[in-house]
Amino acid sequence: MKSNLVKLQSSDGTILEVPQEVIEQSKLVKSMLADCDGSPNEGRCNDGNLLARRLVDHAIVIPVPNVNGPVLARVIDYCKHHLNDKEKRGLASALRAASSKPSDEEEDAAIRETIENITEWDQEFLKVDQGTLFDLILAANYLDIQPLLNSACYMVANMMKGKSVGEIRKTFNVKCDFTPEEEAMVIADNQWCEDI
Amino acid sequence: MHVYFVSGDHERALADARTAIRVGHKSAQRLQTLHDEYKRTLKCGKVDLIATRGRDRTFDPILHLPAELVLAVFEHLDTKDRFRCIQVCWYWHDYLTSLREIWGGCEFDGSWRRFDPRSIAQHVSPNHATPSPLSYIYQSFKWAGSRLRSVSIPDCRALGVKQATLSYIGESRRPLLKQIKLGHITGKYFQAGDLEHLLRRLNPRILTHLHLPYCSVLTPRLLRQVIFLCTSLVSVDVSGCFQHVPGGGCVVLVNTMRSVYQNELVRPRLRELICDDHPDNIHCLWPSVCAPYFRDLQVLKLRWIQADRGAFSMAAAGPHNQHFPWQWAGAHALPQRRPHNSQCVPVSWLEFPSLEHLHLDKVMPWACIATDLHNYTDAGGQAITMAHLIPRCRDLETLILKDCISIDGHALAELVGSCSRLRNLDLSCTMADNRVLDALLEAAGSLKSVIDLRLDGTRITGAKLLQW
Repeated sequence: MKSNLVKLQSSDGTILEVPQEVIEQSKLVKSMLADCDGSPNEGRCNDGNLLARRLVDHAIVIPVPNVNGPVLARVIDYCKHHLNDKEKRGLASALRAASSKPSDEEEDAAIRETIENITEWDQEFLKVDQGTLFDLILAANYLDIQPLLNSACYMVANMMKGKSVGEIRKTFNVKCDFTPEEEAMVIADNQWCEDI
Repeated sequence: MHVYFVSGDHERALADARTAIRVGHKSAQRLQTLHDEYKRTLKCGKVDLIATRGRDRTFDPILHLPAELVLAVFEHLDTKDRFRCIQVCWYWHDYLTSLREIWGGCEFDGSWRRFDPRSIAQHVSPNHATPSPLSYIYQSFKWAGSRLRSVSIPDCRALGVKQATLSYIGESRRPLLKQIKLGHITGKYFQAGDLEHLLRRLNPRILTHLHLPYCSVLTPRLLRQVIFLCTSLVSVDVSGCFQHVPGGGCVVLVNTMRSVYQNELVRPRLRELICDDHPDNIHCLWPSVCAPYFRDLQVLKLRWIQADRGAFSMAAAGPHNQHFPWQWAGAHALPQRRPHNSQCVPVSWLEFPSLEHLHLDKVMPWACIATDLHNYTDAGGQAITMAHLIPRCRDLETLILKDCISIDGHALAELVGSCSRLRNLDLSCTMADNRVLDALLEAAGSLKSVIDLRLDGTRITGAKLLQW
């Protein structure tokens, strides 16, 4: 089972091979694989909207139509790096409760932990241009990789954090479409929060 | 295609690798190679990818991300950052303020125009565990800060609002607070000074609505000061406020208005007057509604003035009964008192060319206008009918005759026919029967503009309605 390779097909047609346990960090892929394992025939199995095919070599091709090749590659990078995290966490939870399986609550708690502490590696990993970061967020959202999504959202928030309005505009290349009067009004309306 | 991977040339290698990937090499193996190199480059940790790519592709997170991801981003931001973000551009401003979750469940349109503790209680996020509604109120005040424009707490007793809350409303600068609606500020928890303290800290030129129903700590002096200072005030509600003052709320109101507006320089702006008061007090207000300072009045709510059922039965006994409890309140009583004054009350209704909403449920005089004034003549000897009374109220949009016992169908039809803009007609709980409806229908097109007609509790039969 561990040697199983999963093939992911990105929107531009490139196919990337990934070990199953790596890509299972994506809840979407995981649930798709679970569905496929249950199917008796070698043909097609449908899990609602998405179609996965079991090929002759027993690898599974999963189409990821919303994500292009480079971004998918990056996502896989991320998953590979965080594979060990999961094992560690699994081990820890196994030690903590040898008898019971990790519940959803524990998983949620783990997710919350990751919100609090974004690792340095993550920060380095996500030091990309805005377009890529945006793609990564959408990909993580689509593939349902919560830690990556949180880290990426944190990075976006970081771009706004502690910046002046002008700096935010500059960062995201947003044009200010307030008239001078409106802008004065908006600034006056929000002046109070600067005094906090 | 070349891959440069000598040390010191990471950026170029990386750029090439990325270009290759973007161009779309079909060969997975090749891609994998590129990918590995790319990864190794990344592992070097020396390459600043932002520098590599430059800022050629920027994205607008608010415009491009779906709402749930915008929320995820904003989870990491504090209050100050959130409020800075709404100053970026119109789209950000409108979109972000429409997302309740960002603002702790408070409704926010850049002006905090509506503040309702109940809605906040429903939408507040679980992270802010708060034990009582009062905490929500505090939280909202805190969030709203100086942008607070409206406070509405219908019943202060039920929510446990006490002295501290009032002082909190007035505590920080509230230069935009326009509407104050605080019900049931009673002497148990408050003193006159608390309310005064609050009102003194407001911006008097901005306050438009002052609704203090059943507020026992409001004094006539304070009301006079507020009406005098607040030049923009358009709506006042002092229902049940002056029950211990001789004459009651209507007397206080009339005296206040008279003293404030005796100076012609002060232009009266009061549009809405709400005074659900003790029935004994209405006789003071009635003759004064024709005074110049009430001329701009558009909404007059005088509910419960004659709620006593006993009065209705006595009214039915005849208009000339000396023991009419509502003689002082009834329209016809006033000319008797002031026979030489043509400014009798029925005429005073003609003085409201801008009258739009007339709420007269449970007010006795209207029933008397509908029935008894047929036989009544004013000082000039002219017969007064319902239609005669309001020929100039063509702008009337709402006519509520709820609980008015007897209605003359023809007079009503005439009146309704003359009001081309009448939209709401409420005849519920009146004695209106099939004949009234017939009369209404006879007057050609009299119900054409009416979109809301209430007939519950009348004697109009279902068969008649079907026929119609």
